[in-house]
Amino acid sequence: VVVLSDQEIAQRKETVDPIDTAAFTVAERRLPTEQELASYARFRLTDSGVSPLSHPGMPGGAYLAAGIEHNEKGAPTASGEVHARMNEKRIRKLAPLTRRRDLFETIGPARAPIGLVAWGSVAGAAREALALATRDGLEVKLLVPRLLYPVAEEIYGEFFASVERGLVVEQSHQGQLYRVLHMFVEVPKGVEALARSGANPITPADVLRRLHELALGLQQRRAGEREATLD
Amino acid sequence: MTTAGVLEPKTFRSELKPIWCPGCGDFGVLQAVYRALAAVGRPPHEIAFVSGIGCSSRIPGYTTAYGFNTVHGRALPIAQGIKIARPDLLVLVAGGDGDGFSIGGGHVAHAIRRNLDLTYIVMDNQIYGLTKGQLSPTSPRGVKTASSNFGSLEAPVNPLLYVLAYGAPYVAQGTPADMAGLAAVIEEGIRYPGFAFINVQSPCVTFGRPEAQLRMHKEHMKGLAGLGHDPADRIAALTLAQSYGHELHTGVFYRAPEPAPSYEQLVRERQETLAPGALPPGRILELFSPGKRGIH
Repeated sequence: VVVLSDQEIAQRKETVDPIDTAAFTVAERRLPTEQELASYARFRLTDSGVSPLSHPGMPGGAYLAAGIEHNEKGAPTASGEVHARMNEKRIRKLAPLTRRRDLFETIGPARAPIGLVAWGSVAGAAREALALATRDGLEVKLLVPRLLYPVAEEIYGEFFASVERGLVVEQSHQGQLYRVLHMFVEVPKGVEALARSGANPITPADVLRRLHELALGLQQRRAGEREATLD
Repeated sequence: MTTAGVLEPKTFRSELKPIWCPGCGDFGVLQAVYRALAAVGRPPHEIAFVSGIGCSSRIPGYTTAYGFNTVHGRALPIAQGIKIARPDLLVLVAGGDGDGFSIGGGHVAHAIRRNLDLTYIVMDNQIYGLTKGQLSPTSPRGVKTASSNFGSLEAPVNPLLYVLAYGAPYVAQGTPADMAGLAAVIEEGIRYPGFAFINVQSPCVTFGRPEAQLRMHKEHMKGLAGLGHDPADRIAALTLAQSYGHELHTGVFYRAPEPAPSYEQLVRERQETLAPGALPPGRILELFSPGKRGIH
């Protein structure tokens, strides 16, 4: 797991309620059974992609951990077939994450034609912009992912189903999430990147201005379509 | 910790067959490690064997133990983490001269001054063999390699002087040309209660210099015990270490007669001292509450 953090959040001070660390759930790795230790394979191919992990001190559990490709027992290998099986296993292990709806927050009307996607601290600016835009009478919704990768194709697909115009808002020079989404998801053509390098944070006003531009464009397009139908 | 009774060197031979070049000095180091581990008698599952990257860093894969073939130059930091978390384990660290004294050079000094109970074996072949023969930090000045057609312009690092200067409490050197002697210094290093450094002159048969091969070692090596060297004399060890690159001294250069407490011992003592007043994990945030404890 790679946790991405914002410098903006990391360097600020905030008064928060005490965190009850006693309520945390510690997720233990799956340990091998005695039967599994009898012919232990640290990287055994499994349906879930998860293999039991031995700890030093467990008789029969010794294995080699290495960065290079390896077989089920941990021995380095140059076999293309093993490499493919191991990669399939790694991807299989990540798959359940893409069904974790609790890692995604959706705000606003489900059938809104304008959609925002924003993550990290920028999601705060997007939330405020959404509230202001709703006050101004725009139909907008927001998706805040806490999971960036693997890309939850189904969840994005459902979100974008009603979207004609939109923004992927992110504090990133190249708009990395916007680009990654295009690799996996049918992003509607009217969805653009609102991306900027750090140091000058994206503000609610920045997002709101773009939302009004999108709404205006959408309104003009619909008017054009109506005229074309009447002709 | 369990005592496994009498173990055979073959107990530590893994299912993997080494892919080193025929005649590589590392085969001898591997056999010496097997012998030393068998003599020490800890079972394979109580041993962590950590290495970096390079030909020699393949050694944990050829040893039955919990092996970790880590990243280049970072074997020592990872081994230190393992030893602090699990002081009950026997932790061996191995790598080449490039791994230890070039990319990982900065870690050696700090591992020594912390004095964890680790045994660090450097297979010093004065070349980067895995990448086809470039200059390494211990390559002699003037040597011609794939990356120095006109000869190296740099003075080599002296690993023995380096670790002695930083205060390593156990420093030895060996060669596979003297298997019994090499196994003995490795065994003694494992048994020594603190940071043990063993420099092994382990020839590269493919890219190494002709004068650095095992045949030459057999002809020219000089046992320190035979020279009457007192391993408790650090100044004498420093003097002898200056001959690195010119003479091949084998045996124990230095063994601190009064071992200092290891880092993991000190950590445990501090934990025990602080434990009576320690807050349970669920109340740890109280440490940061003004007027209670910690911050005022």
